[in-house]
Amino acid sequence: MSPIDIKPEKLAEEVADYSHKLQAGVERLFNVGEVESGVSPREVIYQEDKLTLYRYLPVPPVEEPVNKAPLLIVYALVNRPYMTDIQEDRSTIKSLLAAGQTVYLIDWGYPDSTDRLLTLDDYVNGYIDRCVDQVCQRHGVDRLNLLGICQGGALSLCYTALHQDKIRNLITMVTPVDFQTPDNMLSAWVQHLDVDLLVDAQGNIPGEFLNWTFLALKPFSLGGQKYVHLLDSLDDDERAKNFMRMEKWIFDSPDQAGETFRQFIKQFYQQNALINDAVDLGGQRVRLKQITCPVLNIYGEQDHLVPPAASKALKGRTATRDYTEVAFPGGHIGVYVSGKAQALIPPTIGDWLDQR
Amino acid sequence: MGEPEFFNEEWLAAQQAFWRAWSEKVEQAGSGSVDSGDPWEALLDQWWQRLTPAAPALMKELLGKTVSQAKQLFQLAELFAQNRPGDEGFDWQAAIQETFGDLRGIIAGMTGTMNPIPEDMLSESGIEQSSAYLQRLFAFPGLGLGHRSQAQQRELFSRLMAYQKARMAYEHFIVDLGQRAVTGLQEKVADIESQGRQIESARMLYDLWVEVSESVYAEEVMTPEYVKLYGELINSQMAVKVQMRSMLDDAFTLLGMPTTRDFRALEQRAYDDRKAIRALQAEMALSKQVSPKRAVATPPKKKTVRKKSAKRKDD
Repeated sequence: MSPIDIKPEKLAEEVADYSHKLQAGVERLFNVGEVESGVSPREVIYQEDKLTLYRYLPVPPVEEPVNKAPLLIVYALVNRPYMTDIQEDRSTIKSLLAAGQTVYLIDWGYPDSTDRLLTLDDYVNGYIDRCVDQVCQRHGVDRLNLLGICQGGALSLCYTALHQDKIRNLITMVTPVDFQTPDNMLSAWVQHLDVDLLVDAQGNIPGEFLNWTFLALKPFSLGGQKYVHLLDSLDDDERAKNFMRMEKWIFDSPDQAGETFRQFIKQFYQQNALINDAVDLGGQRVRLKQITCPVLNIYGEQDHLVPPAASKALKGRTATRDYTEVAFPGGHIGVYVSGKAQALIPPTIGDWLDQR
Repeated sequence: MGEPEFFNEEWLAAQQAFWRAWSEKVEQAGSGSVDSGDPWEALLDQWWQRLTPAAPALMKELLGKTVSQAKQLFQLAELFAQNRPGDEGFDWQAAIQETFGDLRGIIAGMTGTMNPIPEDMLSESGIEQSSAYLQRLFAFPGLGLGHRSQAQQRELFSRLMAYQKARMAYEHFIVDLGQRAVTGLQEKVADIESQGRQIESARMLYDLWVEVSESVYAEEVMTPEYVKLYGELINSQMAVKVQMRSMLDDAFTLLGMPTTRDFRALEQRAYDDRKAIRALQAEMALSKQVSPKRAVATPPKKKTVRKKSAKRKDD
């Protein structure tokens, strides 16, 4: 008996089935129409350069947020923040609103060459700080709740360490803290990279380069298999639309401000400075022990971009006496879009915040 | 939809008819002797070409990848439908390697996003053809008025060679990786055989290949060897770019045209101005916050002063 026995008639059947699905899938995709990004109603609170600060409006039946302390979401500079509000039934924002939170979000926009010289200091002590002030002034409070996602989590840790008096509670989601865990593929790849040369040559780092880098983490699955399996998941209009939304997001990568990229790769990835209290932002040293507020750290157990160990390294590194860790059984993206995540993550955040 | 005639049942029926006929032919002829001539692929290409102009960009890209993967998948499956592993002259591992093991597209994508020169100029043969000539040309020292540009060209050539070398080393690593994946697949197939199971569909074979390859890849790209190769690939590419830019800037300067140096200076000025404006705004905001307090605090002081001075006057 041969271990590989693909019979011609079976193959003929398979090809015919695939063709049928291809035809149906194309028809369905043609009817998808415009793929909108971001579903929850929101208003612009503040704008500066490319940045926009949004407030998300409460959705019925929640007329007024239960938790009056505002929650500011700081997303990564890589990719776009509409992932947190990607579709009606998969929206972390919507679920946070439903959990009674007052939700704000910083959208970093698309940096261009005029933003090339922006530094991490400009982002953390400039943009984030001014957004925090805007939200606090609006609510007449001195402190707010901060939720950082992925790289935004690392920025939020830096911000909280330097501005602890303005932060009531800190939540980090899929956030790298130890950037040199043995299973961190991205980290391994940049260790031999001459970042100065890269940034000097490129200016801003093209989003497309980042796209390819992320695809190269799993080239066989993400560059090939996904498209073979695609047709199996196009069995109704809504699923087709959801797939297109996700595909749009994956390749919607803003260019990275050159100086910020240089500092981030050098300090965080190559020097692992966050965990060693050696991050320098505009002459200010970031020490995680300066964080004293309650911390909720959420990570994905199957995260291939930010391995669990990279996030869990936060435990014991801050000076908080109120540290909670939540392991989510999913990956880097699943943590905000999967059905499981919708049922678990936002209510957990809501409860945790309400208790504090 | 722009081309409705392609979405009727005829297309599908034609394919089904072909595969039925092909299947029967293979059965009659026995293994290894039927050439399908890829009619499914031809039909698919024809259909896809007619469809493409009407498709939105995102969908075009998405379906393009789907169609191309499907073609590869069924090309491979067709080979297995006509042959069995163990058949004389059928190297199934090589067939898999040829179909799916080529990761050069990924490399081209990664480096191509920032490539200063066309990808095909970077092929091994492309450089081999030109390198001997260029080496002779640049063996001379820079002389006379043109010595500066000669030195620049020599530097560019040297950087191009370094980039090409790094690229080749990287490609060889990836090709080796593909071979290791085939070995992994052989082991996996042997496992399946020992369990008395069989791979009976193209999809099963493909999924198994992806699973094994991804696992081998994940292991290999974490090695110090790969990290060094990857770093050298990107670093050498950037070195070429910096040199090319410097030479272009010199040429543009001679033509009185704006250069990257000029743009960078303007970017610096814009950044500094932005910071200065922000500092002024912060100062103004602060003075606005302080002013009302001063307004409240100042009058009593002034009153006191007036009283005192009035007293003095009275005195």
